[in-house]
Amino acid sequence: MTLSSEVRQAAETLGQALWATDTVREYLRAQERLEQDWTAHSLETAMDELQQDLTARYQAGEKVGREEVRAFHVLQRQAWSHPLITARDLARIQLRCYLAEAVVDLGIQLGADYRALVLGK
Amino acid sequence: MEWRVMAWPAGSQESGLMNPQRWQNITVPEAIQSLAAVLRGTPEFQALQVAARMLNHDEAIQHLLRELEVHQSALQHGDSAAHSTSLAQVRTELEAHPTMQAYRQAKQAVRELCQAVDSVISAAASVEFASNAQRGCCR
Repeated sequence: MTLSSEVRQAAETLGQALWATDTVREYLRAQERLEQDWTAHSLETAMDELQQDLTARYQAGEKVGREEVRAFHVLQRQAWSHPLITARDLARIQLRCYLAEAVVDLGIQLGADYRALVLGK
Repeated sequence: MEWRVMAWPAGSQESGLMNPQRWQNITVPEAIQSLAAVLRGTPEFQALQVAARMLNHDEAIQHLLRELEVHQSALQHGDSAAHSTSLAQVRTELEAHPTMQAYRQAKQAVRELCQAVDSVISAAASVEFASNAQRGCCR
């Protein structure tokens, strides 16, 4: 869909205002620090890949062994105890709360559930 | 929550422009207010408002909605077979009604507008806006 210049400008201004907040910048910094650290990044990638694999197999009706689930939990504990992953996760929780408030505010002023509209709910 | 921010004009983030004369003091609530005002004035939002008003004033629609409620309530109280068929019929009738179809169409147009707007916000903010807007501790 092509947006009018007025709508585009207003949307960009909001995006830039959000980008400049401490909450968004802290999250982006935390994510960047995580991606630049080989150990943290590998741990998280391995955990995500294993989780996707186990979920897909479970959904396909395949039996997932206890040992595999246990191995996943070990990996998950390692990942979640890594300081860079923990810091990013904390920053992400704060980001989500912050954006939730902004989205609710926008929805109230629009008279419509903005998030539901965007996500097709 | 810290809302007051320094915002950069469009394009300056990418180019790394740091010229203070081009900065503007704007708060997130102010930016939200401006965007909401602009969006409310778009043909899509105006059309949705008209369609919603027509829906609320359409006697046939209101009658069908009341019927829908009766069947849903009966189903919740365990009165299933007959109400389940009636409920499906009322739903079909409701969705086929021209006023309802006009409303659905208007809503879809607003949905597409908001999705396009959300992409612009997300690109400028460097984070997904609507999909990240959630409370809770899940990863």
